[in-house]
Amino acid sequence: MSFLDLHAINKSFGPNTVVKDFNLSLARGKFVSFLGPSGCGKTTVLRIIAGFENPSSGTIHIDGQDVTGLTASQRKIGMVFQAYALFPNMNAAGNVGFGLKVAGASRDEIEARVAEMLKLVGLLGFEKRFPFELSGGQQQRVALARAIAPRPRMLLLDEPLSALDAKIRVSLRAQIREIQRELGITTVFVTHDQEEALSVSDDIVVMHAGLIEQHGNPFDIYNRPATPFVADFIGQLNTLHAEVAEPSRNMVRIGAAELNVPSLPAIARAGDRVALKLRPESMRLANGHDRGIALSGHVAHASFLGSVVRLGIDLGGGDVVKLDSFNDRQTLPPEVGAPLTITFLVDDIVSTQMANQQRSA
Amino acid sequence: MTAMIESVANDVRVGQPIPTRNIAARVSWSWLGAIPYFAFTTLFMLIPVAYLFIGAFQNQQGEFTFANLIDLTSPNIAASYWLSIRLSFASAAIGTIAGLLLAYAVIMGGLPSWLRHAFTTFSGVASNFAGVPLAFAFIATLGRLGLVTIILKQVFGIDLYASGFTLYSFWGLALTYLYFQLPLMLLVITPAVEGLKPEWREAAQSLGANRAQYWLEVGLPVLTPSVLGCFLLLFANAFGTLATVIALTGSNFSVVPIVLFQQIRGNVLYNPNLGYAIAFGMVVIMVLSNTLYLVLRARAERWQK
Amino acid sequence: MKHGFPIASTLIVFVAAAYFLVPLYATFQFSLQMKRGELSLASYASVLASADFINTLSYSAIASFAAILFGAILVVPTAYWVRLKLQKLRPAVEFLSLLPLIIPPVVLVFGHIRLFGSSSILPLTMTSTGTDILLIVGYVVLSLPYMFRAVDNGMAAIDIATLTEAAESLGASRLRTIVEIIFPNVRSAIVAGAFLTFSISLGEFVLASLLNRPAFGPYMVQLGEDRAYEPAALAILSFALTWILMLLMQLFATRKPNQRLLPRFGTGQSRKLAP
Repeated sequence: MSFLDLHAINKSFGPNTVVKDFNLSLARGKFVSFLGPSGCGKTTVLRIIAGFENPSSGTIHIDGQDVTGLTASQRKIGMVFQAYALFPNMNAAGNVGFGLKVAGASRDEIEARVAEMLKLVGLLGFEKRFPFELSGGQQQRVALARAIAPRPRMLLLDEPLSALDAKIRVSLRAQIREIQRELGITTVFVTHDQEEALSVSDDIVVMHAGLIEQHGNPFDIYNRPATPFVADFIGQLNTLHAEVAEPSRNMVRIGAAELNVPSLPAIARAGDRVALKLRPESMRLANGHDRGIALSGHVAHASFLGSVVRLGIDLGGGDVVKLDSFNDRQTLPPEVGAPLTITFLVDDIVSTQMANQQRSA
Repeated sequence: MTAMIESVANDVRVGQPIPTRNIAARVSWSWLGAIPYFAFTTLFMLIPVAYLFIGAFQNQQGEFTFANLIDLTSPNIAASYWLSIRLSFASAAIGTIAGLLLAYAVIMGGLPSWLRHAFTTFSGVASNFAGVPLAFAFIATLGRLGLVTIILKQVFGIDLYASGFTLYSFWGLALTYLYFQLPLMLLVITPAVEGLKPEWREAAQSLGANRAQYWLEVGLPVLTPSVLGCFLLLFANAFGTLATVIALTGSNFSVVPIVLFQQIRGNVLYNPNLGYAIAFGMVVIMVLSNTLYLVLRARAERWQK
Repeated sequence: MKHGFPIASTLIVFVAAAYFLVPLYATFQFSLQMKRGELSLASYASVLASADFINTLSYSAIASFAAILFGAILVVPTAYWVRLKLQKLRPAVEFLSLLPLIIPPVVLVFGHIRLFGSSSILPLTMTSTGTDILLIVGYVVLSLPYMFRAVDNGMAAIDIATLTEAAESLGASRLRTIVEIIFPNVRSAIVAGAFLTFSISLGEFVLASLLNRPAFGPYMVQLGEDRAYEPAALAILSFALTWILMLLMQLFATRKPNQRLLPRFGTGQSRKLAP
């Protein structure tokens, strides 16, 4: 029995349909991210769950209860907003205690819970501070404490990190995940940042143009993208062009090398050009005892990024692939123009597309 | 774009140093540029007001005294201050509450947006429609022979003037002032009402608050400094009003500006220095309400970020 | 919070609209009733045909134009100079520009009469011309907060200091910079301030009355004491005029510098700034 059930949700604003036939089931205690470019409908789905928007059609069940007709204030769902949205007229304690106060809790009860929550987010001693006296990261932690103080059934996070500095973003997302695990609260996290989604989620729902492209765990989403959109949107891809040799046996040819690829598009005929897509980290510099396919080329550009050296390697025929290698104090990065050989395994090919196709079609 | 122009400007200047003679010329010009303004404001604003203030602390022989300020508490003058303060307070309070309600209705009341535009434009005009013509309009409306007075009497059988109302009274003036106070309130409170973030309401909702709880705990407290500030602005606005009163009541309704007006006309107090003290008192009240207004506005802006 | 038809808002708006419109309608209706038993424009004809009306209105219009001219000459260079060279003086200049908001006109004119009266070193009130000048000066003071804010906002909108530096770095003289770059950019702000000044001073009563000037404000008050229907006609005319002035003011205040009416500026600027 799933905890959150969205069934056949549609949402239109006037003539624009922003969410199309959205179905999702989540188990209790999961941390799931809605990931997609802006305008893909992820925030709208979140607001429909929260009760701020009514779906044009479809139903929402939480813990077996149909909440479709309930107002936001009846749903018992905690929400954290992108712009913090702390009440400016209340100090941190007032903000965190607000949910309990409107529910009619006693003063002692509120005080104890506020202390507990502020301790949880690491802001004990900040009770008397007003929002304008707190940094962005502190405000967002107060907002998190405020959202979970009334013991909601679910927690919704609407791009809570995107207004913050890079360093705080990384530490706060880890803290959010830790608190979520500790409380075991079912959480939906909306973000457009794939690294954020990959690093904290149990599950990721990749959305595009109001539709779910793929729903799976981060490992599957990255390594087994279900659609070209997902493959392209998540991480980076190198393209190798090849010529189809024998469609029936999935054989293709790159220069003199013949490869047996995992799959070919059904319409591919012998002699067609296809594009093989690989993650940069699937390619390695040859070191003399490698398995798999070897291709030679020369360094087109090299950038030293500290822990990694990023090379652009021209393999001829217009293919320039990216390749990352770890920094090594003993070895200088190769110079532009230097000849190199790279190797990869055919099993690491993420997808194979017709060459003249649009990349994200 | 701006940054680009700036960097272009700097680059050129670095490569092409300005001759020293030119710099010297500019320094002297800078000071000359400010002289007319400071001279004008000093001569026609600071010195005349200072003249009155000094006179407020002198007797007719030019000796220092507090007698004039003490005389402000004499029954006649104290009564006119008290009348002015009550009238300004009443018209500002009604204007504040009515303007706040109107701002709420047109900004977040779920009405079509052309209504808001219409009220804002009208308010820009009406807040400047004061003085003598405003008095005429209200005489034509609610005077003894005013159209509304007649219609109420003939159609509804309500005789306003028989029931004790008259336009030339405290409440008649307050109702007339409202015609510029209400639009002014709408204009000055609009930014604050717009500054109520929708997320605050949504956050309150998701924490279980109903509409009334949101307004009592968040919406109104956030608006309070702005509302009080605007009240003080309206208070000062009413306190200085003179032309409307004269056109409505002649010189019979002795609010402070009228008393001072009479004094200037004919020295009715038989003591010019008492006139200075009255002027001093008026400015003190204006300074107090405007200072408090600025303090409250700064507080509101801190919250609004 | 899903709500249906906004009953409370509708009621508030209805009451407010009634409060605003009924006096206008009543005044208009009243102004038509000068001739017993019929609706006519007789009151308007009576007002417009009166020599006093024409004389006082033209007197006030001239005084207002003089105040606008004087105010602009005083405020525009000062605002420009303060932004460009005298940033340190900015708080003082701004404070002085706001002072008229806390000095009631009756207090201001009281001070003027005492200071520039018969026994002073600058006895302006002794001659008719001197008193006229004092009235104009008073209107400049009354409109100072609005004039300064309009012009200063106009200059803030185009970052006057950077524009000046850019123009000078490209070799333009100071005069050329002011005439070709600065003035066209703040022209609409000045005009907006001018309309406000005009609406303040045209029907002004307190200063004109206490300085004994034959101005429009005292004329209106006198008319209110003598006549019944003409004041209503005057109120309607005056409301219409205020409406026109405010619409023009908003039009100019919200217009961007290179929008309409100033077609030459856009090309002029790009020509000047292109390297």
